[in-house]
Amino acid sequence: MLKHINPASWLAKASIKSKLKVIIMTISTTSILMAGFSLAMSQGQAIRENMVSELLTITRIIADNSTSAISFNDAEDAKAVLDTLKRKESIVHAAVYDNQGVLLASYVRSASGATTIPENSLEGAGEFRFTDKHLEAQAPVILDGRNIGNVRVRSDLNELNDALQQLFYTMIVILFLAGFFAFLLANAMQKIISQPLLQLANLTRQISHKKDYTLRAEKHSSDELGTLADDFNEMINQIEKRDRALSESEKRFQSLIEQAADAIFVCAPDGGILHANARASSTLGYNNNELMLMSMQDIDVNLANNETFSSDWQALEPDRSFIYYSNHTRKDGGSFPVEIHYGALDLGGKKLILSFVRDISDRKKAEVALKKANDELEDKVELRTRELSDTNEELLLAIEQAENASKVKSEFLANMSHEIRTPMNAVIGFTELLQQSQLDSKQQSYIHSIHLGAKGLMTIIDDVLDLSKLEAGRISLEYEVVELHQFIRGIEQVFSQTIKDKGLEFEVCIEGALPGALIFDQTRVRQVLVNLIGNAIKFTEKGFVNLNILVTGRDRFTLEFAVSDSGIGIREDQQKQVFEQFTQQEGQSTKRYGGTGLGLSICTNLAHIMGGDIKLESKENHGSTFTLRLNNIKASYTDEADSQEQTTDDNLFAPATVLLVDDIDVNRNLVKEQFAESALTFLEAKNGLQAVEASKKHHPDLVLMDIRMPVMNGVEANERIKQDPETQDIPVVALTASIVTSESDAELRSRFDLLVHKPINKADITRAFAQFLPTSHSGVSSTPQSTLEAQAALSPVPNGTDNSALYADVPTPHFQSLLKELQRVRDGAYRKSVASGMINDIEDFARELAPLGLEFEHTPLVKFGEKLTYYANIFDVGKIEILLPTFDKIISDIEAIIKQREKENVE
Amino acid sequence: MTLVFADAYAAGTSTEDKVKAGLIFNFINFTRWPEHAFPLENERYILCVAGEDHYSEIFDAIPDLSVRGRKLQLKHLEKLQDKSTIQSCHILIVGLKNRTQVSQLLGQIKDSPVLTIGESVPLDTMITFVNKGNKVGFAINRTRAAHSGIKFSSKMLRLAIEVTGRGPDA
Repeated sequence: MLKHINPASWLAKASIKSKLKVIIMTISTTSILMAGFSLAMSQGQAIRENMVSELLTITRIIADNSTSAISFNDAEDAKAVLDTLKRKESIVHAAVYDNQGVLLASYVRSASGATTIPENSLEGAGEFRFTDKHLEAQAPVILDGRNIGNVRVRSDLNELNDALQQLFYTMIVILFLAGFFAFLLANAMQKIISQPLLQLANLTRQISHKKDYTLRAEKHSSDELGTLADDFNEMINQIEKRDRALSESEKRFQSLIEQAADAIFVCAPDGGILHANARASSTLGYNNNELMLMSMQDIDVNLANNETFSSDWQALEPDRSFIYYSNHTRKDGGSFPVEIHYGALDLGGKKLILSFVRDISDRKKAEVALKKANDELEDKVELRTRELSDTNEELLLAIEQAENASKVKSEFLANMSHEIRTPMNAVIGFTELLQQSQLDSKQQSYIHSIHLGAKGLMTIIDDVLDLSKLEAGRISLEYEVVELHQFIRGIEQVFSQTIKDKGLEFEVCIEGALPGALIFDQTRVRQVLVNLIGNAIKFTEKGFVNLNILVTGRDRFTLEFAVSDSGIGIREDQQKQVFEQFTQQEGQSTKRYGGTGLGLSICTNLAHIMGGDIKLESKENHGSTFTLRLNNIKASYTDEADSQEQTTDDNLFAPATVLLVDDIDVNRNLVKEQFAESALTFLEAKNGLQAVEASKKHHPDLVLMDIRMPVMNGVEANERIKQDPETQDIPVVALTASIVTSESDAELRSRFDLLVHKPINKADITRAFAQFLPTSHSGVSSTPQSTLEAQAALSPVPNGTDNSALYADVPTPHFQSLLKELQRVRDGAYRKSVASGMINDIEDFARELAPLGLEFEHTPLVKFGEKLTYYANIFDVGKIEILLPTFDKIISDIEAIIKQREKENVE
Repeated sequence: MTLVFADAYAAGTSTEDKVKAGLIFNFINFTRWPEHAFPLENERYILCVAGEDHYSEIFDAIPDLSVRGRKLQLKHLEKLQDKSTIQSCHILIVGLKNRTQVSQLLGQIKDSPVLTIGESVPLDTMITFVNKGNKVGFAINRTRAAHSGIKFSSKMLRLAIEVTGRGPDA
């Protein structure tokens, strides 16, 4: 069987070198062949044409020479001419014909041997033609333009053939030479391409063989092969890097697996162990080689016996894993509980099962212990809960009891206040009565003593009750419109007798621009002043007791009541003590100076509550000065005795702007809500800095400021507001937590216009606002019960009413008569009772008023009378003292009404 | 003069005359007259025949005969002393037997470019027909021709039976 060599496949399998050589050779030989062939063709053609041309020329020459021969019909001559052709060896035959076609002469080359006479066969065939062995040419014999005959010449093709042969051989030679050189060149030049390629191929084989990725290709040229080398190198670079990274990663993973705390197995789906880490060996006691021969079923009993488990195992897929609890068996036969995480891995179509096995024997133990502890704990909890609920019940009971106790206490206080005072008043009253009755001097002195004692006791009782009230926080300030002169006069009156008795000088001096009326809690202020003056008198044997009042300010006033005496004074180191409860100055004896010593502390507390303070200046044996200072006292400018109401009425305030400063939103909102119905507009700031800015920008009428705030606290903000001329007139009320000590309280009080303790209630805030914000006169207010009493007690004129409106239908003469009567009474009984201070006189006075009140039906008067009578009955001297001066007011009110009416009449 | 053997023709027959006529025609073909022989273009070859005229018939019988573009015109010389007429001939065919006549005739055109063709030997014509056997040949006297300024083509010369004299020095 012949083996066919398929050139195409051979070429495909051939080496690059061979391919290149073949290509080059093919191309070059083809080119040469083609060139040679076409050259040969053209050459051959040229030779032929040459030959033809030559023969034709010869023929024509012969023809030309034969003109006379033919003309003269000279065959010999013709022949002679033809014979000249023998010079041309290739010519084998020639013939001359006349124009009839008759042969005139012919020539035959002797060597050819042939004697055939050329035929006249070229007729109409052109000048020449080639036959297979000859070339024949013919030419007409032209004489004088007339064709007189024909010459035909036949030549053999030897010359042509020789020439062609020559050509052929030359071509062959050239072909071979060229081919040979082409081969040499091909051989040499194919290296340009093949060498780098083969090098690269070699290198690739080396690299993949030895797995040595550090080898690199050499770059020999900067053409595509050079680029190929570069790219190849780059690729190898990356492979090297990746290879390195991979091996590192592998190492890492390997170490991870080996060092893992859990035993790690890689198994085939049938359970055969393919890989186990070091931990697996150590926990199970088999070495790695042994494990390789085992399957998971040998280790995990459940896998072998439990069908469900087995099928689950088989069902593991790469995205499904599960945790299983089982027992693994060691080589020594022992088993231990395990927690196994199973997962699957798809590696090139094959499924592998991964298991991470953790020995949980410790955990199990711990679980058991935990359960035990848990149970114990539950029991304990149950027990404790039971105990607690018992305690709770007890507590609730206790609370109830405490509440009850408190209630009792409050009621007690309330009752006491009245119950104690009433008999005391009686005692005092009756002693006074006794004093007036016929007594001898001894009895007088006894009575005097009793009176003193009673009075003193009263004071003490008051103090104690006040202190209790203070402690219970039940003191609330009652702001009223007070005419200062009147107020002071009232106080003076209290002590006038005592002072006289002691032979001391008492001077009252009011300095400063005094507005018509000021708004403060006159009861409390009176209490303090009475206490201070009382003390001053007590501790001064001779000399004086002065009350100096300094009023400063314009819109908001600061009142300083300075009680100075020329008494024993207080030593410096004892000055602080004086303000504390239950202490007296050392050296004092209760006997001599009396008093429970409560007074000053109560006064101080009261002062603080009112937003002021009490200061002491004293030197031993050089007297003392106690100064009660009240800040931010507003003035009342209305003619009518418009008492400042203690009210939580929402329409109390005229439109004003209040700046709320607190970092806690809730606190601000609280205030806002409480005064939502009021005419107040609230600005808000979250810290001191914002407060300062807002104050400057909006100039609120009041700033309510918390102390503890971020960024800038209330103290600093207040400082800044006070320092800035633009804002210093804005009153700043501080809100401070009630845990602040009295010292810092005092400190704050000195800085702020008012201090309000937290937790705040609406009443406190209203009071604070009322001190500084203008009140509106619109609306009749509802007042809380507690204040009504005081009001009723103290103010004869219904508040917030326009007198003229009230008495509109009362005729003027009515008032005039009343006035006259009242004036009469004033000059009489009133003066007397005021002067003496005696209950009797007061009763007389009151008795006189009663019918007047009835007759004239003047409500304030009636009320006044009723109250006075009531107080006189219960001997409530204090209240009487307060009430009496208001008589003047009744009169002045009536006077005012009359004046107004007169004015109206005039108009 | 030596005789050239031409093809076999029957001498003395009209065929012979035809042959001769052909030869005469050919002579014209291969003869060159000097320029002054043809002052005018398209001037015809004036073929004069003196004596026996065998050829006018033959030439007349062939229409449109021309040599080198010139037609032939045949004249028969009646008078032998008409010099002007004789001198106007280009070719003179002497068909006279009388030698004296011939000499006389030839003497008139001694220097004139007239191709003289004689019929019999011996004559002093430039070309003389020679019969040899059955062929008609011709002899050429170059000297006489050269004297008249007439030249003969070598192609013709080599066909002559005899060539005497010398051609013009070229």
